[in-house]
Amino acid sequence: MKLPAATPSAQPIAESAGRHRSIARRAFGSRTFVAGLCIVGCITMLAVLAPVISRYGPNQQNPFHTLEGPSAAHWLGTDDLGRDVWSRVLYAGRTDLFIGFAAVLFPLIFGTLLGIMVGYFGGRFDTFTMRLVDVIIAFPFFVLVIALVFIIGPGIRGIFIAIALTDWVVYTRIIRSQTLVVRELDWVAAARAGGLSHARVLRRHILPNTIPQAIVYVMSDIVYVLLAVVTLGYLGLGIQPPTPDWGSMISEGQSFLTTNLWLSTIPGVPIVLIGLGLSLCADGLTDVLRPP
Amino acid sequence: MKPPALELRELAVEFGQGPGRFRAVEDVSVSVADGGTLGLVGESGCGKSITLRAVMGLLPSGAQVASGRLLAGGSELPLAGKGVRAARRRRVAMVFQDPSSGLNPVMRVGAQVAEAPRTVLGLSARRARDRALELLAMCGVPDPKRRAGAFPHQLSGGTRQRVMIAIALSSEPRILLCDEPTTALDVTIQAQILRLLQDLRERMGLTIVFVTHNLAVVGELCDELAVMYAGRVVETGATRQVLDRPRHPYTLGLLRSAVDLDAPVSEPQPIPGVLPDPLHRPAGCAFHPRCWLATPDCTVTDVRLEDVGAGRQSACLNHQHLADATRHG
Repeated sequence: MKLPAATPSAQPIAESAGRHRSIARRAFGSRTFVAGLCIVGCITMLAVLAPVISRYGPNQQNPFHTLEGPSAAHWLGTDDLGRDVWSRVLYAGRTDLFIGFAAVLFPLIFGTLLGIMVGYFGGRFDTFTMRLVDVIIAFPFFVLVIALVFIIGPGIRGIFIAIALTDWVVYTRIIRSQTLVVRELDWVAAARAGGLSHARVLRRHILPNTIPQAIVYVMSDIVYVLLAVVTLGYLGLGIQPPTPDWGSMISEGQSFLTTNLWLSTIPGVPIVLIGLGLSLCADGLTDVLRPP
Repeated sequence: MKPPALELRELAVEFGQGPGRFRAVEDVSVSVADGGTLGLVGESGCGKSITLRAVMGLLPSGAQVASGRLLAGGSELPLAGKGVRAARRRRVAMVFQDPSSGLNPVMRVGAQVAEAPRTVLGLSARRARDRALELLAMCGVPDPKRRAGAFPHQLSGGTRQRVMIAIALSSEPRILLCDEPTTALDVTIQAQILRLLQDLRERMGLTIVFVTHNLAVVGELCDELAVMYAGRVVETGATRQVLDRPRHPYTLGLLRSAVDLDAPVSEPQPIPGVLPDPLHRPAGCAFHPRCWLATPDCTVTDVRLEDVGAGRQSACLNHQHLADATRHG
């Protein structure tokens, strides 16, 4: 079989590739996404740079300056032990944000992989997995996490294990339903007809077309996990004192609510802002990732 | 004599389980000679696409092969089970109907064409890419170097269909199964794609099985024809003969319901009635409720394909009557 030579082209491939703006570039074209990213970025930067920015250690007590209002020395005032609230909020961000971002990694990866497997292969494995997912989803997320942390033991380890055990179900469910749609499309049949292995079809054809859903969800999920961490801290099951944590700060400030309102309010602000920022990111990404 | 390139014997495909189970395809036996083109014709839902997918080993979930054998060049290909895909590798490939869902939207088309040469034929990445460009050029994709870097949504329907044909050919098959590859395209592009398929058949010695409901397309491309109705083959034969002198009232109905631009008075006449519910097949000939030739015999006799001369078969009790009465061409 003799093939005609490919016509040499004056236009380089780059031109046609340039017409398709990559997902990252389109994301940065979305105002919603950029706004969200700015908020999240600012707060993350503040938390990361806490040792540089803050003038006091998070646990540095000063018995002569307790429960003071905002001043030049203490921008957000001090708590009942004379600790600088601004420094503590920054240091708390380091712990809480790290847990929020790190704890969703395992659910994201495990849940997604399981989702494309059960969606693609189906059968008894699929039925079993999805019934297990139903059982776990039947419990409210917070109730389950709080109960598990209570059993495993408070602290970072307990939080990671509890989130890992419960949070993958949502990813599995989202990715599985998306896989069921993609699996029946002709190009997957064509790929299989061409003799490609299941592993390759999953990696090259199913995964890239289903993962955007998981990436959008992970944004909201970080917020959920963060809220769970903070709630656990509030209940005394999360990060153990004296390590600062937004939840335990809110809880500790509660006794002074009538006289020193800011003690409980201020740690809530970064939580709200992070939630807003990540939601904006998710919104922007949803628009961008919708298949053309 | 050489064995046929593809021979399907008494295929039956079932859908569902329990009381809702039904046979979508029953007793389908067709064959196509090496280098020949077989047209599989019938209205939507008659089982032609299911037959093709069964041959490819790509039945949708819920469907399974109940019985039948498939022979390619004299050797047996499994219709179900583990070895299905391996047996078809480098032998049988398929072109799909809808260019909008036939390509992966997040992969550059060049990479999609290069995928099978790279993984199935084991070429190096560079050679696979060159091969992809050759295939795209061979399938008439204009400026293949540039198009290879494009994503599917940047291409027109006709170009996408050409890319899909290039992907099908990329695993170097001997037999190409086409599932209505021109239906979603407009008429001028249809003609180009048909010409491309004819051209490829001659240059590569391909054997083609072509599923369509468009009789004009069949007349253009296919040398053999099998007409299907309600999951069974009702008439087979050489295309020209079948189209000129149909020996089954359903084939005649199909011809009459098509617009004929050459005829002096061209008023398409639809076939009255609808395709029977596969769960409640009429007794006897499945076509009898819609047939103007139906006799009391037709409602009870289980009709089978029978030789009616000149290498043709018909599943009509009154085919002789039809042969006497019709004067087409």
